[in-house]
Amino acid sequence: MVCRVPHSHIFFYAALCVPLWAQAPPAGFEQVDHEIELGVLPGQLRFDQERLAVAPGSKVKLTLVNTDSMQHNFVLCRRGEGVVAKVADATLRLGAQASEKHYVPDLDDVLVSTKAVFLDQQDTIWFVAPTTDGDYPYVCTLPGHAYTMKGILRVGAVSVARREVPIDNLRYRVFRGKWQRLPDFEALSPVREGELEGGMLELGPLGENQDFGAVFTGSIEVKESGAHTFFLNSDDGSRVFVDDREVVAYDGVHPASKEQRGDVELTAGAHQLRVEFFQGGGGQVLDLAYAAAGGPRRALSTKKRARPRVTPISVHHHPVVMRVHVERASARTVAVGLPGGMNYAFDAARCSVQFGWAGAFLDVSPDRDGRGGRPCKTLGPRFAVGDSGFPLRAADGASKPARFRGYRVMPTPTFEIDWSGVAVEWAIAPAPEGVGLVYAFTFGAPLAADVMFVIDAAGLTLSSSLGDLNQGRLEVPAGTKTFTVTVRNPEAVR
Amino acid sequence: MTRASSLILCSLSFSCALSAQQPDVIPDGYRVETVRTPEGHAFGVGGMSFAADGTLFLSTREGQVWTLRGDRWTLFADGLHEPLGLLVDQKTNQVFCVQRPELTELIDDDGDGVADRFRTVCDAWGLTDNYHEYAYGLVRDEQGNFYGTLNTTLSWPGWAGSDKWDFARVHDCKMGRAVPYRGWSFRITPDGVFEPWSSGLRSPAGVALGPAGELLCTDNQGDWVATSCLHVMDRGDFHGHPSSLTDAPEYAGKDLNEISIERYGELRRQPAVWFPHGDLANSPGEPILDDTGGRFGPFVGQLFCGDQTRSNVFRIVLEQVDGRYQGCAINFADHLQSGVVRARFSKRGELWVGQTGRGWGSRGPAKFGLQRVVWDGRTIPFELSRVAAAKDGFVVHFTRPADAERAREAGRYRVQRWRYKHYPGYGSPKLDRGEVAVERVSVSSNGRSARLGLDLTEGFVYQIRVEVPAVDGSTIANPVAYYTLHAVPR
Repeated sequence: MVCRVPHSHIFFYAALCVPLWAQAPPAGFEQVDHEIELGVLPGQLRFDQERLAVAPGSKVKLTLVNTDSMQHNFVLCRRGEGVVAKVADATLRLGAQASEKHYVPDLDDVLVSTKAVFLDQQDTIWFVAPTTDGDYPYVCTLPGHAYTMKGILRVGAVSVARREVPIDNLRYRVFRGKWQRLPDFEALSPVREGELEGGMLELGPLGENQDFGAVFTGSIEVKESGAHTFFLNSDDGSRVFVDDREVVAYDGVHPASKEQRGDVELTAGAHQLRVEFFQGGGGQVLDLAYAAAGGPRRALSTKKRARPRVTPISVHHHPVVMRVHVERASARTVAVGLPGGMNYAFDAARCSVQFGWAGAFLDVSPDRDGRGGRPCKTLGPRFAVGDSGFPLRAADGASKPARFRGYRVMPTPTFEIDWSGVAVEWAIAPAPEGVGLVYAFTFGAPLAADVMFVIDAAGLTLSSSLGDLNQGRLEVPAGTKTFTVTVRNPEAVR
Repeated sequence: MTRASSLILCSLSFSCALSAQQPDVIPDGYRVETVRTPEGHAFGVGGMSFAADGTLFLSTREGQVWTLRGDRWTLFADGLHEPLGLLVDQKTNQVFCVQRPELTELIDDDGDGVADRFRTVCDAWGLTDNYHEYAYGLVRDEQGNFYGTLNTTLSWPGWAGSDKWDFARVHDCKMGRAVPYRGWSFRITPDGVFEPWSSGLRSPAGVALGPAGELLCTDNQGDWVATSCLHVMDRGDFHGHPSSLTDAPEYAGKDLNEISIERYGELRRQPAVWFPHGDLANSPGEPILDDTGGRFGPFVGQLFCGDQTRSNVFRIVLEQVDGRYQGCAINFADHLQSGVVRARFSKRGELWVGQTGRGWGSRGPAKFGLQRVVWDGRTIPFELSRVAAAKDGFVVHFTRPADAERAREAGRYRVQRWRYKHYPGYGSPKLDRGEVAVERVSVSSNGRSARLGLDLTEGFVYQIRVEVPAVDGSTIANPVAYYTLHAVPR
């Protein structure tokens, strides 16, 4: 039997919290069995963990941390075939209410969910895990995201693993003063102390701008005995001790212009690390890493990395048509986003659909940042649609030139093509089921002669209003005014 | 384009104009006003055109077209590919834009103020995903033909970051031609037939029709372009940048590197007016003819042009000597809030300037915007109206009478000259630079002009600084004129 915390309770608990980052656990959840921090991969429509594991009936605290320009949520669903699709579908039908419901429909298939949070926001939920073992899907239900933004919460016997950090018990002390070289910190009194739970040296949390110093202490776990090299760069001065022995230094007032190295023999196991640092004015940098001889560097410091900028264009209830450069696509691409998460790239040069993709629409930051004009990124996995140029041919299969004449956007994006004197309107809509598109061709006048529809059928499921296709070919008889072809790609991401 | 976004109406109960920080330098009687742009939208202006009824149509680098009626902004179209030229036909009200891939008509079938259809008028030029392949415009002549220009391809692998666009670089220059007609101006007939017009352009960012209907464009300093300049474009002209000759039928199959740099200098039609780099302009945008009949003050018939780097507006006055176009360029307003790329006169005679600084390092606090320069309707500033060439020197014309006694003093005129070279390098230094002595000055009886007698040499740019007050003591806000001398009048 599934044990869940009803929806109303979740919202009640969440509603108790005013600032999202200071949420308090509900009664009974002060101690939990599992603490999960779930992040997102910016611009990729994926969670940063696609497999989570909890024990049956355990108390779970889950925080969704959003570092992406798009809004996301976390929705845990009950087990079962097609549950995720059903939940995603119901979300689409929420229509205008969707955002106030955080894109979560009122279905029993939804076990628990977070709020839909924006960039730099997070939301924490506390819940009791299902008592029945099994794989429970979780997904982000923002429109189009469920295609790729999902994972499995495995409920079963699980041991809680210790989270490994680069520096254990990393503590710091902050001192104030103006120095030209590192002072004797032990002769000074710190103005503040603290702990860096992330286990990496970081100057940001110290909250100081200039004329300060810091001493960091902790321990590192060396994997293998042997020669090791420490790599240090800083602005201003710094030095590093391992087991009280100075290993590398870059003292003085200077920018972080030249990485310093120091070698030391270390045995496998824990070693004490002490890093001293001071800052005058201007930029502040502390970069430290180490490596075993011939091994990869292990970073011991971090800084707020410039977030990869994503400028998403979102599709809601109406199609969006954009002419932009798209990665790995024609320079004359017309990108179309359809409601529900189906998108495709039309090539105005060849009057052909190049590929489709399922998911959110486009990241246009390459076009909008700086000078712009660079290819934009499709937000979702692409699927083939059998592009073999303009799909209409003469009755014998011969190609005739097709010229792009323009398009309309509403109600369905429709391209106007002059096919060697025949006026063709080509409207493209999402396939009713599965991943694919429906092509609707309408001629200015009923066809004077037979024509053929030709597509590369490899990997596709095809059907049409004129009957079955034969290896991607369909005879379209004279007199036809309109016909449709449905192109589905069953191998495309589910 | 979503219907929801297409119905955004920014209805303001007060005027769209905001009080602007005034430029450091602007003639008396003129002021700058900032126009409020729709909130929440990046608004890097790419094209501007006033419809016959006074509605402003404006396109942005971000692919949108907006209309401004009174105070109300409406999103007219979206999803275009960097539309850098917009034209509303004054008679038919058709809306045309030139975007990267094509010349497009934006059609509002149901008259609701929002475009429903995008009709491809002409898409006959080559296009890759090289970010430099801009298409600029847009003007239309009396016969209904459209004119625009096409930027060359950033081809040099060291800059382009790839050798995928490395085509047609001549004498190892930086810009090339990866696909057809990059570096050309074009004419498109009303039926949509593409006709290559003139070649040899580099970054011809602004297109205009001159006082006698001449087809004009500005080009930007760079490889083969000594300093930014104004070209008069006649059919078949070659303006100096060789990469585009790849598409010229008479060069078909030829190795353009076998033609010497000197020969290219001889083959080209020189620009009409040079804009000295750093002194006046660095990246000029679109020039526009003052056809306001006097509602913008005393500069009727002159061209105004904005600069994207310096964020200023300057004037260009053309004349013909011996059948050759030449003339002067004089600064006007310095600096505005952001890089000026587009300029149009409204029906009321205000100079509206479209601005964008994104990615190109413009001066000014704003990343984009829309401003207008307004004349108070009565103050005639004391300025250098224009400088004209004479057989023995220059004639400096003032907008109103100068203090005649002082205007006669030769010491109040400082003249320098230099010339530029034509070669594949990025911009030319000022060569053979020197002071030119003003040997005599005579002032017209009405004090409206001063004739400077000095040595003239063809092929030089002359910098003329005038420190002469008006009869009423007013001083000139912009006392320097740059005259490009191709031919000395006889």
